[in-house]
Amino acid sequence: MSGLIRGTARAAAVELTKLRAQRSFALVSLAILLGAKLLALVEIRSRGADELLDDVALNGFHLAARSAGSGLFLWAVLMAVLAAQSLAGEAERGQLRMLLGRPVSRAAHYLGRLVALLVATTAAVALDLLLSLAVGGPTLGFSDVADVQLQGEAFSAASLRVDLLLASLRTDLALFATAAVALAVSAVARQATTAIVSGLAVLAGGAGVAFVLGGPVDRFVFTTWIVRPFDVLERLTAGTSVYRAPGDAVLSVGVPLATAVVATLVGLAVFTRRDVSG
Amino acid sequence: MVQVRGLEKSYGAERVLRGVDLDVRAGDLYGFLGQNGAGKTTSIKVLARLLRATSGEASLLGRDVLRSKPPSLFPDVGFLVETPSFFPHLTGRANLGLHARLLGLEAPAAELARVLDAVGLAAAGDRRVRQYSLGMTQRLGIAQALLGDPRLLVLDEPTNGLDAGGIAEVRERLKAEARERGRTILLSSHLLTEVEATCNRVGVLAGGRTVAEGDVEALLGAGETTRLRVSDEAAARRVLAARELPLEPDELSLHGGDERVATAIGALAEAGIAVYEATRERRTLEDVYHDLVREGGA
Repeated sequence: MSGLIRGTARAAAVELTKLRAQRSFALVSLAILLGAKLLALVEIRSRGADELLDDVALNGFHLAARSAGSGLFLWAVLMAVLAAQSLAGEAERGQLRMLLGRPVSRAAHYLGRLVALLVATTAAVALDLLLSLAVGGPTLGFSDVADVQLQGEAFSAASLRVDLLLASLRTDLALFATAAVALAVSAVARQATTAIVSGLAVLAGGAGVAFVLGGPVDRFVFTTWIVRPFDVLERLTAGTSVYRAPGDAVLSVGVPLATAVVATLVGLAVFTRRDVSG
Repeated sequence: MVQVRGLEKSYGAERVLRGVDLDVRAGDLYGFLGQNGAGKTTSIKVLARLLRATSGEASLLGRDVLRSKPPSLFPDVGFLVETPSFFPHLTGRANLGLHARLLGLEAPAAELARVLDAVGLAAAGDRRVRQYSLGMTQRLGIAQALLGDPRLLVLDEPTNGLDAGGIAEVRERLKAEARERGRTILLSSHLLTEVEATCNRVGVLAGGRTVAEGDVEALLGAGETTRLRVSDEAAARRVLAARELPLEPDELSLHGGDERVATAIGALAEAGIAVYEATRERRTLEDVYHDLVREGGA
């Protein structure tokens, strides 16, 4: 077990070194996200008289909440691309076979890449919030998170900050689960393009099924998966009340966590047995 | 150091390896020969655990390749499988750094400098790999295989893409690695003259199976020919045929090493046939190889 942990740590360090060096990818991602923030800003401005927002102090946190959906979508796509490049892409280009001839097990290689993706998703969530504050502050206002409350509510500033942290963690978990699914698809695919297309298809398929079936599936998958991580921010800015509904926390943490675990077990089973012929 | 017995690999109904046997001893510079598609790279990929063998046995440094896990198997083995492929946006040194990290080297900077210097890339180490020529990439591939001072090097076509000067440089480097550092080296190559000049032992693969293996000198010796010029050719043929030393039908040539030649000359002298000249015609590894591949049915 200690060998697996040591190998995973080494593989994660290698993966993070490679990710850090992909400056052009980071710059393109940043530009796309900045565009999404500006679009959300335009939407907020155009809905200035929205009854929901009448009594709400606007600031960067509001922008974070309003752009959360598009942000999650964009980050999910970027993570799927990273995960696809991570295994299928490297196998296709012959880079993977070079790294596999080292005293690190395939399981450690896989888990190391997963850990690196977790670091990447966490950085993405933090960057997304910082970007919202950086864009929303000068344009909407620099008020504190505690100022963003509906009339009649009286949450303490400390409670709201904890809520914000938990919302970010839940967002991170949802993104991480997305990356875990994409990595598992990447372990199966032979080419990066196949991995990207398949990964996005699997993710979109899940959401699509939820949309079509509606009802309990919608409740159980789509709502908890896509929307729920941002409920706290939504409540802070638009008064969403479902946040404290019984079982929400369990669903919003349990569903993505279970998805990540199952995807990882499948990915590990495939990757540790497959031929790497590229 | 490397023991392979009856190695087989199939992709569905297609049998790529049909019985590969290798015996690489400590200190060997072992040439692994075969035509394109003979199964050299597939065999090496099985040794590197990139491919799963269908059946057979294989061990590296006494450890079972097909059952051991990489952490216990690979610390003392440096691999170069096919054309090396690095991350183009990283420098040569950074690429090697990734491998050093996976190896868990304690003083990676010094080790990176050592291997870059060993392959003549000390000055180019901080350039991005996308700026490297094919030859430089190949040398970087050899450098990554040398990381961690492995006892065994397994190199698949290490001179691919190199010009004549580069090939000679790699040849001398490999000889020095074997001689000065006591490394055992298994290298596959299609450059028969290079293998002849570099290796002490060879294994020949044809149609997915080993058709010959042994010391280079022994293989060349078995194919040696001695051309004779004698006073009476017809009598000489009769005398040697009686001693079961048949000559070539169209010329007075005798196959075999020193012992057979000495026996033949002695027999001719006894029969009163003067031997004016005995010219040794040394066959090249290429001649021997082509014969073996033909006999192997490839």
